[in-house]
Amino acid sequence: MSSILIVDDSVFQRRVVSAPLRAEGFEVFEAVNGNDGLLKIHELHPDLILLDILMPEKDGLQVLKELNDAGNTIPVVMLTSDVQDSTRAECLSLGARAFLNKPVKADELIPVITSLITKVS
Amino acid sequence: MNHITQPVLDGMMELVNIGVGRSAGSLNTLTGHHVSLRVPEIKLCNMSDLKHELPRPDQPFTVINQDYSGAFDGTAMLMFPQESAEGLFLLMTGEEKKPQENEELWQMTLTEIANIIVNAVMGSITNILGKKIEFQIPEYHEDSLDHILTDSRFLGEEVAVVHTVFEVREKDISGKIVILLTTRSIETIAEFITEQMA
Repeated sequence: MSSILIVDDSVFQRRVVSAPLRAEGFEVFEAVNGNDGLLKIHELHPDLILLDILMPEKDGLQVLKELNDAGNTIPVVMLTSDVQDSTRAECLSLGARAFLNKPVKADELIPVITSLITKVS
Repeated sequence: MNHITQPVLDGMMELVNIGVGRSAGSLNTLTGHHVSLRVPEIKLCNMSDLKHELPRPDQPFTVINQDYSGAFDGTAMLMFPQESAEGLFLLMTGEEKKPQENEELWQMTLTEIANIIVNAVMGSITNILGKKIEFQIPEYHEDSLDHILTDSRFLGEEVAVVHTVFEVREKDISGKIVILLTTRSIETIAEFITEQMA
């Protein structure tokens, strides 16, 4: 079973996103901000990371930079409300493998995740 | 700001229309229901006079506001009458009633909706302008607009106020999107529009 770590400060968003992933057979972990996300990435070594940007304590861009600097190989999918082209470009240049905007539909999210996990494995 | 011409105001309205249209699409995806929008209105005024431009300033609202800064700055607010906030929460979460013991889920749900809508509106505008802005973490309030506006960091400033109403008629839910742009922001947008029209 492939595992996914959702890093998002919104309990609502974690709930909305995790339900279809679990229904699809993924094991889902949750982190409530960037610091918690980094801890859980090292602890759980998920197959894929779903990363929000705007979070307290440490935001998603900082997490992405730290992962990039550390030579991360786990695919990171940005899942954010920020629709700006400049943000998308920055995330992709920092190593994100995909950039999706909230609200995302399950039939948009799951193929992206499946494709990235399949490529890595 | 008095020098802003009607064609520039029209251009600003068109930018806002595009942004608000995108936000309606996001709300439609979130709720699974058709979302109706009223034509946005724009007013130039002093922040201290803003309460006269908005409905029922002394009545309690659920308000989520989110500041932004960068190429232009200001704040954006999503305002709901209490009953609409509850209706939207129930629609989004599938809960049967407002939770008495899970305030976090309540606030996070409404805050996340506001975050998505504000980003859709402002992000669409910045994309067209080829600019970038940074968003702050949204803030949740249950208060009268009188109090919320009195606490604003823009108090005393000249601002442009853009506001529109959205409705999910099938569920009797309505809310208001209010965007405040500072003088500098308006000038940045006006420059862009003037260049485009040249």
